[in-house]
Amino acid sequence: MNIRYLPILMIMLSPFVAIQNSSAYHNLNNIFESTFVFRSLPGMPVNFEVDGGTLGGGNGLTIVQDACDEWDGLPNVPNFCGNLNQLETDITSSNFDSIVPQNDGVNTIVFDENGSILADLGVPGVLGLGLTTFNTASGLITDITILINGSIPSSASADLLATVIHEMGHTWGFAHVPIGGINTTNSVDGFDRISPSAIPTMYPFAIPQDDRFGRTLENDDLGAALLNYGP
Amino acid sequence: MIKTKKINFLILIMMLFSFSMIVACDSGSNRETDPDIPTPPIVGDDDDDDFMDDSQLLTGTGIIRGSVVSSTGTPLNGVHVRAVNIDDTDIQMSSFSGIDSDLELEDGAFSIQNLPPGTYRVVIEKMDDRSSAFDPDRYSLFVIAGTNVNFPDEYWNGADESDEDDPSDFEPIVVSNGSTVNGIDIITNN
Amino acid sequence: MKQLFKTTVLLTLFFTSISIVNSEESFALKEIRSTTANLARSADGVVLANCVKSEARIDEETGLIFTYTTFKVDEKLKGEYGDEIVLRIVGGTVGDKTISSPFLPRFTQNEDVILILGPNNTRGYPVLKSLSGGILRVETDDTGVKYVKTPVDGLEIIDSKTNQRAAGRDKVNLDNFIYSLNEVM
Repeated sequence: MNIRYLPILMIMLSPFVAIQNSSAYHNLNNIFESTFVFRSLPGMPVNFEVDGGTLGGGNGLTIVQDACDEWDGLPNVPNFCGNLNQLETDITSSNFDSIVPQNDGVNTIVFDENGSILADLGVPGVLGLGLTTFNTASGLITDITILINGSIPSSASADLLATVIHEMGHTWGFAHVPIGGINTTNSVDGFDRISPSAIPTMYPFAIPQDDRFGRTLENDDLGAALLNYGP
Repeated sequence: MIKTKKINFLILIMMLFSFSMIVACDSGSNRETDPDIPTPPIVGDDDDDDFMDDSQLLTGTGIIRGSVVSSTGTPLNGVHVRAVNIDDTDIQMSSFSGIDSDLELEDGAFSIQNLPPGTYRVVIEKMDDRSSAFDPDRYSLFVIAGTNVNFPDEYWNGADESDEDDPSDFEPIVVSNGSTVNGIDIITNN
Repeated sequence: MKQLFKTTVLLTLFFTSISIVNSEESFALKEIRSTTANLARSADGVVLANCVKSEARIDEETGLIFTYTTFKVDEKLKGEYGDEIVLRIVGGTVGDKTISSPFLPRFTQNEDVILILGPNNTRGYPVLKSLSGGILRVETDDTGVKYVKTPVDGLEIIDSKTNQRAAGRDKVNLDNFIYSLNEVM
């Protein structure tokens, strides 16, 4: 075969090779033709279009940038975040349908300032939601939408930055982690309670004692990142 | 020759189109106050003592592998398997049973990878009928597909592991750089 | 060379078709964990209901799939509702298109549930107060007595007949549960 076609064939096959590299147990997954498929990004970094409105009454872009910095600070993992382009438009429930169409390959972060978009989706009161479109055969993620609920003021009960970091984790392909379920505030009996400050950011609830602990990624978060995107 | 070049160009465009569809994103409560809780980190604060640092990662991590079976020998899937560093119990990593270390579906198998070097104990926990903190719906479709079983939490107990061993007895597991510790086979006490 | 072109074109078309057809969506989220009692106190409505049917449809405006689940309301514990309510939640499968999530509540036909509800959304649908705590599954034991299967958090269970504290938070007798919930709402 002529060698000049090699790069083209490599491009064609790369999504399928990537299956072999993706992994981890705390990863979003699906079964495709009896095969366990993990979800992962096909390329890094990821560029985002960011809502032009406010988040929790403040500058949401700064919070998103801080969230990116936390993920990008992980050792031995490529940077997750690329360009953050803030839109001029404030995305609300009235224009969400037209601005955030699915499967267009544009990754969008929406500040749902009054929580009405999430309510319309049938999931009110959640702190944030990460929606991904992926190829069922390869698990490769092709479209990302993150919604952050700005109607719940950022506090020790529910921290906006911790939530953005958490939802970004979902869109990198990471699932929830039960570590933290055995915890004083959760009142669940079990062995080896973990300190609130060490609960992984991908724990599915606001960290009971202080959700700001979710601003730092923990060993289990890093473990998932390394398995999917490490050397 | 010109025609061949045109065909080549067309093929390249088609391939890039195909690829772009797959890699599109490439371009683009009320709570009580506990005075003993440490101060939360501030934005950009990377000073976390529990976190393995770059030098640890560069020298490698380890893997713990094993299985979970019921007292009758039935492999159990969807069981939460947690590795806890004995010297610093805030270093914890976990996985679910049902996937082997090659990331293939294998009933009862588990592996916990990228563990910082240290001495660990391994505990199993059921994920159902317990608390919303362990509600399988919170975690993954795979866990939901797991076996709905009722067993007490317990540690892996080395040679004494059985369906009648004391759940709180454990055997330490030493994880070193680049090592894989096999044979952490746990029998539930149900 | 012609054969190579042909093979390459066919392979390209094959991979392109895979990327189009086998596309799926998924969502995951984060919540504040709240107790059953706190959710019920702050809820707009609480009903004991029976699942009639569940079907997924594509929303033409967004292209998103929503699952519509219809319930027959057996008992209104709080709030005013008709004989039926419909929950509309993002996620589900229509044809070869899926929005999957471990969070999408799955209901089975004829299943009894207690739903803790918030205010209606702008589309006019009632919404769950919480995805994690807003659904309490009700089952029937071997003796025909109904009980709440979902673990109950933060609610002292009182025996409806003796008015004394009843033991346990697991498999709570349904009558006792409703009696106790009414005490805190």
